[in-house]
Amino acid sequence: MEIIKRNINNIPVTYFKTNKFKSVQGSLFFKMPAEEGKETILSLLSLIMVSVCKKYDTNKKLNLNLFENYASYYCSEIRRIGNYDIINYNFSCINDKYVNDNVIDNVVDTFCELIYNPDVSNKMFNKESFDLYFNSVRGKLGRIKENRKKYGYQMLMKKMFPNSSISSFKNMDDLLKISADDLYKEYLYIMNNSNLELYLIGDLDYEKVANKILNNLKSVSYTNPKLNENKKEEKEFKVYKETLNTSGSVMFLGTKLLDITPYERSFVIPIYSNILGGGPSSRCFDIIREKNSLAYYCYSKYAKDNLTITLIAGIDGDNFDKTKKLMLEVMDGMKNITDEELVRAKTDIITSLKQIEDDKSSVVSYNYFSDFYEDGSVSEKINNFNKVTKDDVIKICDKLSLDTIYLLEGEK
Amino acid sequence: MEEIKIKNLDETVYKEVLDNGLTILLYKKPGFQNKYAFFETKYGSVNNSFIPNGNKEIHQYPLGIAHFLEHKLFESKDDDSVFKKLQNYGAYVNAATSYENTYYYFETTDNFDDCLKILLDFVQSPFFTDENVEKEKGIIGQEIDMINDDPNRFLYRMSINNVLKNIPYKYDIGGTKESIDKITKEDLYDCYNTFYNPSNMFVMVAGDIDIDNTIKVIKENQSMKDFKKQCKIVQEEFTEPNGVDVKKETYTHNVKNKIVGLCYKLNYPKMDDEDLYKLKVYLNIYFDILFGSTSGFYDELIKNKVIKSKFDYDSLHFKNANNTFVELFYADANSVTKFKSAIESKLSNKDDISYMFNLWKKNLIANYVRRFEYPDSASYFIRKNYAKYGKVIDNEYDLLESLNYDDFIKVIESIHDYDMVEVILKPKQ
Repeated sequence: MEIIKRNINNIPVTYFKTNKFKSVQGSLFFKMPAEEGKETILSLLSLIMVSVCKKYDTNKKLNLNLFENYASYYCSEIRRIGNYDIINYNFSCINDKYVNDNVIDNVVDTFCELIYNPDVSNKMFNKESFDLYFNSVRGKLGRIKENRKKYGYQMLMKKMFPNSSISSFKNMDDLLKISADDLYKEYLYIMNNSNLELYLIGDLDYEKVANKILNNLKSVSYTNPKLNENKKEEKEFKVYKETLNTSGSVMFLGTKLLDITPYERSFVIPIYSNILGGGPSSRCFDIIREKNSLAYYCYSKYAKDNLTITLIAGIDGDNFDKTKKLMLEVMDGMKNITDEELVRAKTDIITSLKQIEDDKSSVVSYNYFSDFYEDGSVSEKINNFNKVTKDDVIKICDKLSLDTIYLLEGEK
Repeated sequence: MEEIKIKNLDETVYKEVLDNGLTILLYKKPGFQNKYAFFETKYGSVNNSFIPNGNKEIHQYPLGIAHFLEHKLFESKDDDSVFKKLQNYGAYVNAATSYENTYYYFETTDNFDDCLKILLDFVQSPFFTDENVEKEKGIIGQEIDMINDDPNRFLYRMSINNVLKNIPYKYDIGGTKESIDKITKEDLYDCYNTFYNPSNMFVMVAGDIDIDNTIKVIKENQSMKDFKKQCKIVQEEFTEPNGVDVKKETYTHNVKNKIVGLCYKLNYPKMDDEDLYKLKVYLNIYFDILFGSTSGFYDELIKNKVIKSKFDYDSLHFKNANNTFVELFYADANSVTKFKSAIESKLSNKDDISYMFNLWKKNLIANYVRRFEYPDSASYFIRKNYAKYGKVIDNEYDLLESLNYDDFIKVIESIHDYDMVEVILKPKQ
């Protein structure tokens, strides 16, 4: 894959030139300073922006246009890393040569309509569109408890990081305060105050596409992101329980990582987490599920951004105390890891890195976000993972602070 | 080795059948790092009543046994688990059981031949003991709880259970806690020895592979094992009569708002595979035109306050059960009557939809081309078709091109006689 980097209209454009895929993808990234409480409005905005615009003022009209262009699609994602919020808007379509039609031009034109001409009049989003998507986000927020893993994890974060942007998630209270003109103001803010980057991948005329998309945009410069660091707190390890109308329970054991170097954040802790609970060869799976039959699933989740490791297990509520005891033993046991475990974890992680270039979205995502952590290229990363020693991994045990358990308990 | 050219695309699938009956399918996709291998048997959750090898009468086995067996095949006699052996090479391994099939697979960027041998060996080395069977009951019991606790999966499961009367598709793939409690190691060996014969199985490999070398690895591996081709497996046959089992049922669940599921059942006569393929496609296009993203149906439901915010639909087809088709609609409906009325009003609409038919047809063809964009997506469809029709479909592009509006209308006009069930999930107060 050839990588071409250029500035077009003073905005960095990265083009991955390849004809191995049958479709092309474009991703436009907007990065802006994060503000607590903005998660909900950004979520609503990112949804409405890929669903309607002035030219296609209902989702039906937009979808008809997508279908005219051979099932192309638009989507958006939001992520918070450190002190920045990032929204990316994406388009994807089949390559022209497979259907003998000007699909890419058409799809990029519509993409520009979505970005530049939202469904707005009189300085606010049109009521019908606003109400529809407001309602959709409200519905999803109302149903949050139906996704127990997501809900439980959020509740754990709220307990671990009270009054922090880390535990600030989109929520109903914030949603109910948003009006159609608030949303438009947010749109204008993002368009005028974001640092921009464009990524294109596939076999296309990248200059033509980039010039169309970036024609009327201005990028703002920001400093490097400031990533979260955890401070040692004099705090007791607490257990919280919440009852849901389910038969099974889900348990979340949260820990914080303290005094972590950038090298540990990027290369050592992922290996630690892999050995601990990174798949069917991990200690959690082997001991808690296979040997003790306590859980159908038990794994660890490493959040690189906020430096936490969470053990998550689907259990029978009656086994809570037993599972908790075993989890703590498993974590304690990480002071003795084997060479075999180290090699296996490295092999697993390195394989995932090699797979990145098999998927368009992964290529784009990896390349954009790697700058936040200054991880380097895939080959540099592989070298760094290979350098990690057993002692490096064992040292993490002393840097882990048990913080909170959150149990979503099923009713009997 | 047979070379099957996929028409209208520059793609080839290679096929070879070994002496022991095992079919090998290979799809080479240059330029990709990841390689995939699947080892699949035509045995799933519906195959519970059959004559086991060495017997003369039909035996009935507990529900969920195919899925249970899938879990147990990861057990090994030696200390090293299958997971560890494959992960040592950086491979990701998993398995899945469906109504009619079970497959075991891995994906890896390196050491492909070594991983392939491990896959073939572990699936062909069952090791069931009373102890390891008992241990698994606790784990699968929790998996069953996890599935039941998911409102979407629970609604789906109860809809299928209530709409079907007689066929084993009625029951959940994993069984129930009560049914799996009855499973013994002897039962597992009966099922294994009957359905895991190579003549009932196939291997699919996809990625930037060396075709000749891969065939060689599989052949050498199989030549060291003593499997002989077996006769056709005799199974109990079921017919699905018209009508439904339970017309209406309400359950309390972990939901914020009431969820209504409406499940429509259509029966079709037996037909050849090509006609069946087209029927399926026509029905899918029809429901997509009426209810999908280009229909505006969701917006109407919201505007008319029929639902709060959630609506979706799904299509199922049970080929081996009188060609029963099931269409499931679900929503957080404010009123069951209004939701039902909205669905049925659409179904009885006689507007000209030729434009939409041609639009959806165009997209099906584009999506068919995109299937071959990645080795895993291509192998998914090659496997699915092979499992269903017993062959690699090389003319799917032509079949899609041949779809026409007149035939489509005839299919729509046949949808006048259907049965329906209601399943409601309500929050616990």
